[in-house]
Amino acid sequence: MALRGKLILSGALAGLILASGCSPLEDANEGKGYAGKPDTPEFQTGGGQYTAGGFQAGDKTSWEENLKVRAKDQNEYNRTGSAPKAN
Amino acid sequence: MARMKFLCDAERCIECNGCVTACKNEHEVAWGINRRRVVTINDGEPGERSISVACMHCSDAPCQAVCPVNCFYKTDEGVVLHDKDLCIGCGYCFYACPFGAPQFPQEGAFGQRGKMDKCTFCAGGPEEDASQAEFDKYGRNRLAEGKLPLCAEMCSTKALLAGDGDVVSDIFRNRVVVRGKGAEVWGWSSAYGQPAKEGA
Repeated sequence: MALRGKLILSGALAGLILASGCSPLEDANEGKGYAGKPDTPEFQTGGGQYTAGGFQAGDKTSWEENLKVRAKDQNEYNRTGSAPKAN
Repeated sequence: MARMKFLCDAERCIECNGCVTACKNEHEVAWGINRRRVVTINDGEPGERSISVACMHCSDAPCQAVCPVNCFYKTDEGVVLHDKDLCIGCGYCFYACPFGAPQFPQEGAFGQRGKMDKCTFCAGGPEEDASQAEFDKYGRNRLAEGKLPLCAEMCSTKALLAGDGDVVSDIFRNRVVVRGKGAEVWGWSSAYGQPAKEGA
């Protein structure tokens, strides 16, 4: 009887461990998403002494426009003045 | 609103590793950490292709979905960043990422993982912009300076493009029309195929 009791107890214990291992992780922020420090938007501060492009700190539109111009400059066809024609 | 993306043109990448070097130098990345790396497929055989790989700043980022401490966030420009003060170095994000982007410094004699490090799209992290604390933890914040990621700006063949998704895809589309081949954009369907989730 004592052996049976021990078996049942150890089985229940193993089941409990397995169940806890398979349960979903506890959400660190109770489902609210990002739990870290807030970040300032990139356009707000102006980036310090190495800022390029002459955009105004805090002016999102001019910052975005500046980045767009910079992105378009990656196209070397713009630098040569004309895009080659497709074959 | 701009949606920042990386695009690597495999027809143009010459495996020079300039992007890797530029990234490491710009952010003073620690030994053993490679925020960006060049992967070559069919090395030495006909049809060899090289691709520059880093965090793609996915629309529906799997790293953000699996993080048990919720240390990931996405900026208005779609850049996926994380708070290193919160990261516990569990490595879940590494297993979830289809690009192998999350990197972990080996700390101590027994090689235990440190806090995760990854490409920030040169956008720093949750510290004061252009501060020493931001640089020490996340590297330089070039976006705040009105610049694009250095890896792309340094790319000698302009294989690696970075910036507003519409602009870079226009540049790529124009190239494909001109050369008449190589229309496949590696990693885009994995990274940007899923729409961004609400609140992500």
